Amino acid sequence: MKTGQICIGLESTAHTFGASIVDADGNIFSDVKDIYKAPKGSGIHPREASRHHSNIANEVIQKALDEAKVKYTELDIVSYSAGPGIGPCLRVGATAARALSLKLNKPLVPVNHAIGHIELGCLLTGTTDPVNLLVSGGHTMILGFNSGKWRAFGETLDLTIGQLIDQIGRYAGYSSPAGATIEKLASESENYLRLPYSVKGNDVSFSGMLTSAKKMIDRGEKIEDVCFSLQETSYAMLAEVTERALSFLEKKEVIITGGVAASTRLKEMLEDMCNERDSKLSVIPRNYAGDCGAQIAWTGILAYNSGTKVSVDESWVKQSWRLDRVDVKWRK
Amino acid sequence: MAEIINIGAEATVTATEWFGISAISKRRDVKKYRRQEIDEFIRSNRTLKEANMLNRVREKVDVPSIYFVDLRQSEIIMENIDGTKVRDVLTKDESDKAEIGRIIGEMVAILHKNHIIHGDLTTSNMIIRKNGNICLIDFGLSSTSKKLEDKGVDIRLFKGILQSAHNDVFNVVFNNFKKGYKSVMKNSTEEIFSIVKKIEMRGRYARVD
Repeated sequence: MKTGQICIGLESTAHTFGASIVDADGNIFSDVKDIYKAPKGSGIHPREASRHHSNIANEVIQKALDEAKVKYTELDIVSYSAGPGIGPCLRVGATAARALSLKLNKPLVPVNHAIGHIELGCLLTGTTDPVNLLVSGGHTMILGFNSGKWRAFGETLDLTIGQLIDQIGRYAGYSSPAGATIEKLASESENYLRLPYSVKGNDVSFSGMLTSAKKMIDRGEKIEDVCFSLQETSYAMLAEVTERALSFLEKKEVIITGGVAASTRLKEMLEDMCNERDSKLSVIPRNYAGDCGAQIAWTGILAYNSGTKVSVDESWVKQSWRLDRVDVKWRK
Repeated sequence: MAEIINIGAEATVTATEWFGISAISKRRDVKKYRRQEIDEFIRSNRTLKEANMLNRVREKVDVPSIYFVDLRQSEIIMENIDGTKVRDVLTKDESDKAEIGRIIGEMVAILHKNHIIHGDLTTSNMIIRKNGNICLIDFGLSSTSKKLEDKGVDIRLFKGILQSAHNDVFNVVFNNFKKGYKSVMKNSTEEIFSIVKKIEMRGRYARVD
């Protein structure tokens, strides 16, 4: 039985169009998504991705309601991913959300997509005050909550880990997202080839590694060896900067969120790190690691109940919207 | 068992003695999550770098004196600094944030003037001695460079940690940091700080649109 507020969340920052129905107690009644697939060897084309989203939006939203056994009229809050992301894609989700809000006369709530990853992770793992390693195609950040905001204690200075993986995947001729393919290839090698390990203070840089790994492919190194070395080096860098933040902040919990949280090897490394520091590691469940409506719906409820909403006239999307600029009023 | 003073992100610090003087041993720990070949390279490389740099800057800024280096163990035996981390002092009401910012700015500028990049200017790597001097530690990520860009990256890291961990005192500490920096670097200060801004805008999703 659904008793409290019911929120629909629409996600459309990049390749995923998602819709989800969540209530104020954190029950997820449905989480439906459809992912735009770029042709092999290429990345997301903004126009094609947004076309995919507008073609599929209706169907995904209807399916989310049906699976949750919720009628349109039972919705209390409409939330959408307002950024950061690809402009044309963001506008599809925002347009659908505006239409729902107008038609149903229900409040409209813009949600920061990255905050959504973190808050959904905390909800699903019962984590309260973690160091958060947010790893995806759009983000590579190490965060901790402090005086009203999720603050960045380290981040990438250039590429995200997801971009690094996808770009190597594409270069080798696989389709994006390539994480699962790279991980499978890596598991077939034990032959480590040296790649640049670039930790700068609390930050990481992956651009040098991308160039070196491409050169390895060019000179005919086995793709399995390249993938193995890429994972071992880049994930070790992430484990190191996470450990730095954990030590600086003197916290005892770590959570991995974002699409790359689905990686088994990354989890293993972080587990080794946490065990040695008597800290607890949580990982967002695999089916909620990637972009999904649930992250928007749940954060939409949190935001609305601490006073966030926007009128349809004044609603917006922002391609650049750093999560450490967002006032997180629902946390102390 | 030696008394453990601090377990940092990459090293364990224990109390020891060096020919009758109270000292500390800083040993970079084996990281199980890293493959052995990466791990060994990083630990010995950073230990060597730290020892060399501490030696090089000791007459320019306040850093711990080195007594002994054992590369195979990734261990440095050095002076025991009696004091409190800037990280922990900035949270106290009675501390003089302006003066702390100024001293740090001056020290960083002296390093930069000598083309030395600290590489890890976080507030847990600065210890305030009983006499008010600030001792800079952990040179494992340091490097030498004449590029203004590298100096800017160094300052941005410090600025970032102030914003994240010490947001309530950010303005007073950072403004005075700049004053202290300027007292040494003079005219090139504005150019370096404008590069800091550029580096920030290069950050992901930092551009306002």
